[in-house]
Amino acid sequence: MKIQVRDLEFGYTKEKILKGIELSILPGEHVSIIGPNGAGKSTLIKCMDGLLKPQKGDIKIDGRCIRGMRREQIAKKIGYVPQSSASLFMLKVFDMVLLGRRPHTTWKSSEKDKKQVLNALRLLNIEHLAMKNFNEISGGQQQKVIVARAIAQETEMLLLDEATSNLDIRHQLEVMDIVRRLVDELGISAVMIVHDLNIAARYSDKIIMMHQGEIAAAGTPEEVLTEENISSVYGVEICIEAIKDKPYVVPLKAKYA
Amino acid sequence: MIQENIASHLKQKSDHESILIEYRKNNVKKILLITVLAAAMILFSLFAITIGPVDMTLKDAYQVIAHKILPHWVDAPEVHIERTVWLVRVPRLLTGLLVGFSLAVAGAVMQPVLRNPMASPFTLGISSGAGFGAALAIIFGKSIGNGSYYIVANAFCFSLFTSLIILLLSKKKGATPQMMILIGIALSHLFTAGTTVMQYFAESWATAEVVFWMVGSLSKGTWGTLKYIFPVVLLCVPFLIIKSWDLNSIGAGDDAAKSLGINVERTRIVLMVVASLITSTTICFTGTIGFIGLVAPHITRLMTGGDNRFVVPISGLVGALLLSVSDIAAMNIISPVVIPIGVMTSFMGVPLFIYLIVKMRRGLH
Repeated sequence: MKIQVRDLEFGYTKEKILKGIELSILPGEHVSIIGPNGAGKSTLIKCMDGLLKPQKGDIKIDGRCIRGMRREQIAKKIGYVPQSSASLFMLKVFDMVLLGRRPHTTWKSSEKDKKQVLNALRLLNIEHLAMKNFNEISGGQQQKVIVARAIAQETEMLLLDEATSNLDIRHQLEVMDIVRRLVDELGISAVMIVHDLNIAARYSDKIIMMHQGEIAAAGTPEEVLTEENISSVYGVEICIEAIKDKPYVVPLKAKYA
Repeated sequence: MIQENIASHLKQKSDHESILIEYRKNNVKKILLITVLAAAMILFSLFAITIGPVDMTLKDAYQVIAHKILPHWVDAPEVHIERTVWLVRVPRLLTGLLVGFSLAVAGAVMQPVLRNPMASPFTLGISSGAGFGAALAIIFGKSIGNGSYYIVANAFCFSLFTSLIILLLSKKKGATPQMMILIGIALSHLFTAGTTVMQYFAESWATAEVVFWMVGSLSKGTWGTLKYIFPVVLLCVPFLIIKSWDLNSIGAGDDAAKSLGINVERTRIVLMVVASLITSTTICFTGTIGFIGLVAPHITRLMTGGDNRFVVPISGLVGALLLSVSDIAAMNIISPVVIPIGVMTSFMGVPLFIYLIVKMRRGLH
């Protein structure tokens, strides 16, 4: 699936959070979005899933404008993992993941749906949590459950909003591995907001660096993760080393004006 | 190597099967609970029609029912017994069951739809609206309807009017659940104030009658009123039960629900309209009855967990039982004095509710 964003502009009030965003993501691409807090990363992802309505510009899924699509149609194409999820009511993990089948089923879940749930749980290695209450497992485990829900949704594109931010390094790498595998084996595309620049460099084909609502740089990890880019966008002093074929960011100190 | 693969494949298969078995077991437990509650409801109904101030034997009471079902096979009972059972006890019982069921289902739907554990037809001002409408009819004789249902028509219209205001105001600026609840609470205070002012200036008999209406009573439940309540419940409740799976998604957040393919704004409004409609239809006949709509869903969640596919129908059964048991208790505890049913549901429901919350330590999940 191909998604194209053209001249996107969005603001909750008059103040624009996103300005002149242009990007396109091709099938089988793994893209990381990086940038400082408040740069508009989550807002961009929400626009791409049609959760927010941009004031200007358009977003096309396989050439079709997202504005004219019903929620159910979008949900069959794009899976979304929000930054944080709490359920108001005690739901079993199994039932939480089963919600991912909603776009494909009307109200009664079939055996096939249950099978998809089990596969998604297995993929994330959390089968043992299936019958636990979602609200009673750890934050990191909850993250994985929500990723599993998006996988059970069987979409051609995954949008992940800091899906790994609550996880320790082991679980972080596990989730990154799984998303990478889905991209490589099934040819889906994945767009993830990542805070750890080195993890983004290691796993992504492309990196989009955002700054104050605009795209500051985009391209391969080598092209984007340069000393100039990072120091001007984040206001930090760093140096870049090449370790195991990828750029590696070594933090030095914060810059003060 | 191949053997290892087969072994791991078999292990995966058996893992999956054991999860599915546990999942099914869990759901079977809930279906069992539905069966038990339904059976309790039937047994209680059979008990309820045998007690009351008119003296009769068990056989007399059941003879009436049998005669109504199979008129050619069972002899007609004595006229005064037939009238007591068939024209008073049975419709009152059915009214209690239907009203309890409806209010509980309405609450069970409103709580996830507004993502607030305190939402119910009462916190939203729907019942204050009904009370205001009824007071207007009783005190000033002004009503939208006329004839024997003039109080009912007014109560119905004003309660529906309240929910319409909430929906219209929140639709203008995007329907956020917090807005709806705040508007509902504000309206509830406004209508209560309006009712109080009317009572303050009204004659004492009228004030008393308003109070009597507000505390609620099932005694107005007749075959005539059931004719109105039953079709609405029959249409609305199955609809809400079918939609209950979407409540699970909405409970996880608006963005999550949208990304799962649900048109959240529209679903929220449709469900609110339907839940308000059954609330208005039932309370306009009975007066504002306790807080069944708030408590029954929570009692249910404490028993079954939060899967709304089960919470909605089970709440209905819990509400029906709670209300009809309260009614029988209200009539018989200090007979012949009848304690108002609204008071009785609170007396029975609150201790049960607090006990469960404290015992489960789960709060409102």
